[in-house]
Amino acid sequence: MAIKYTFLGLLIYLTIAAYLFAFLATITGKKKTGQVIYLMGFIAAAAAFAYRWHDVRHVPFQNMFEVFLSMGIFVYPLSIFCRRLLRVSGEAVDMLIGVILLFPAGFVFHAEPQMLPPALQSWLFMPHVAVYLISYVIMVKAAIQAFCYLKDKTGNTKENLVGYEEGTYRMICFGFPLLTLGLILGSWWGKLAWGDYWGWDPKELWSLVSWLVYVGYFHVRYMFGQKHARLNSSLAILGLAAIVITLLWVNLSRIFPGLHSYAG
Amino acid sequence: MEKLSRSIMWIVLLAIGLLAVLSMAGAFYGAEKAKLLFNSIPLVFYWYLLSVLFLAGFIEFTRLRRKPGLFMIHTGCLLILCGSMWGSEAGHRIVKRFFGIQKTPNGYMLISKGDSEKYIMAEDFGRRLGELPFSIKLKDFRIEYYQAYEKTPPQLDIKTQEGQQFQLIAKPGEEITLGRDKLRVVRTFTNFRIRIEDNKKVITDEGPQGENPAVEVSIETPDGNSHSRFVFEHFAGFSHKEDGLQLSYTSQGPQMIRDYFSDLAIIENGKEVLSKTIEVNHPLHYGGYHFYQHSYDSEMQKYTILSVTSDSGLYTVYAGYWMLVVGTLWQFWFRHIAKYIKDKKNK
Repeated sequence: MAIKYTFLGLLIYLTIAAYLFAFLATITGKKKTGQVIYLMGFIAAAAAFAYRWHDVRHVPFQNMFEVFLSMGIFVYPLSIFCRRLLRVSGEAVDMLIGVILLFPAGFVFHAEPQMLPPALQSWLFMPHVAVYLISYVIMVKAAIQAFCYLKDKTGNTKENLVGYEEGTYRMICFGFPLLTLGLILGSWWGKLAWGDYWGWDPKELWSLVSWLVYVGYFHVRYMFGQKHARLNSSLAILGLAAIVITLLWVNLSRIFPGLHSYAG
Repeated sequence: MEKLSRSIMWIVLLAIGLLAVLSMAGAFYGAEKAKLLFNSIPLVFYWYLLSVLFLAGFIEFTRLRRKPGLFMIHTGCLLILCGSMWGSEAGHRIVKRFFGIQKTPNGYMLISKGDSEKYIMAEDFGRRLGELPFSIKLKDFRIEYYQAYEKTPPQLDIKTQEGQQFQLIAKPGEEITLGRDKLRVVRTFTNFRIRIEDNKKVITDEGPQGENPAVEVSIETPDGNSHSRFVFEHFAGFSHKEDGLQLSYTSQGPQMIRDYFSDLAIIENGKEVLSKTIEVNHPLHYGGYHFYQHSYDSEMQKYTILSVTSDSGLYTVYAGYWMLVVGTLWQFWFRHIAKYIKDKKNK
């Protein structure tokens, strides 16, 4: 456990508490109270992100602590966007996702600031990591929709929201261009920094696997439509599994030494 | 779906699945072995099959030709595939054989300060891989450090014959007991020099340039005898027979490198045609090659190591990248946004 007795730690724990209370309020029927607490949690998360940025003097995307801290702020805006524009349900679960994403930042990873090594001093650092992190949060939401479909096929259609299968498809359509952009920006950056746009590094290969799973999802869905909807949903969950391996296992395990080891 | 279309789709799904499984296997093997795997003969056949599949898709599925997003996504993938095959070692051999254009796919160059070099070498510098039609001169090399880190005091690292390791702050008067012997720091030098004055050796400190940092230590034995030793920063771990101690001196505490720079000049027909300072993320591009800051002489900073990569096929790959990105954005985002705006206007 790496408990943080700092101002940054306080902001992180406040966000976790706010997201948790917002979740409890929402599932107990106090939706408006839940919304207000959710918004307060987002403000605390944004303050933690801004504070960290100021503290380390670069966008806080360098290590696992900063990655999970950053993902914590994307949850709220994505949740609102998905509900209002994409008509995809799952706001209460999004609050719980916020708690799960911030937990490693609050309790697992150490927060010692680090200077950027030469390879990370590039304008591509921010867009490459940012689009990946946003796409990851979106794909988590897609996998939850898919999981809900496997459990209960109907979904919430009362509030003009789409069903779980369609919700999964919309979320993947939303996240896939970002996943593609992240891959391409990473490749372009690799060319500038290391001289090769593709180095067959474990992180690169696992990110390709994640991308290919969603490519497979689109082809299966085109081929069979909703005839094999359970297969579509399983692929969405498989995509998330590949993302978790790309983000965590590759960096934290010694099985995959490579060029991206600094991100651990 | 017609039988042929369905067959193509099944092959596509198999191809995607196979690539995903091979990528997973490659991740476990590590980058070196994965590169060999993906460039092996069976995989070369796979890449050709994939290219043929894209072409078959364009012929068989009108959607791929008529929908701009889908067209760009699939054309982008095909361009990436073609560009990377063109830029591969086999691609370079084919271009040489059929078009007579000889380029070295990749390699390394070690250039000392003030010297010029035109040969591309293997990573261990034991084998010459190719020759550039021009030379590269290293005018200067320098390292920048982060200022935020405070300098830690100079340090003396000591390793005894028994393998025990000790550290001592290298300030005059500091001492440490090593078993029965005692080691004491006498003085430090920012720039150690020996001069001959009246036929006698005189040791001086000609700072503040700090080109030869050193420390003088005195080692006292239990019988009361003592002898002096000079430890030079640039000769770490040097050992004397008489005491068997390995001593290393660091005049400044470890500093974190912010960046390293090589001032390069391109020399063609004896004239300097281009000069550029390269650093990580900012390579030099000239004559169909990219030159990257790869490594450097970490002890004396007297030379730089560049990695050299041919740009064959690169712009085809880049064109594919942008087609793929614009295609996915169009297919999954923009056409829906356009439709949403149109519907709102009609309402």
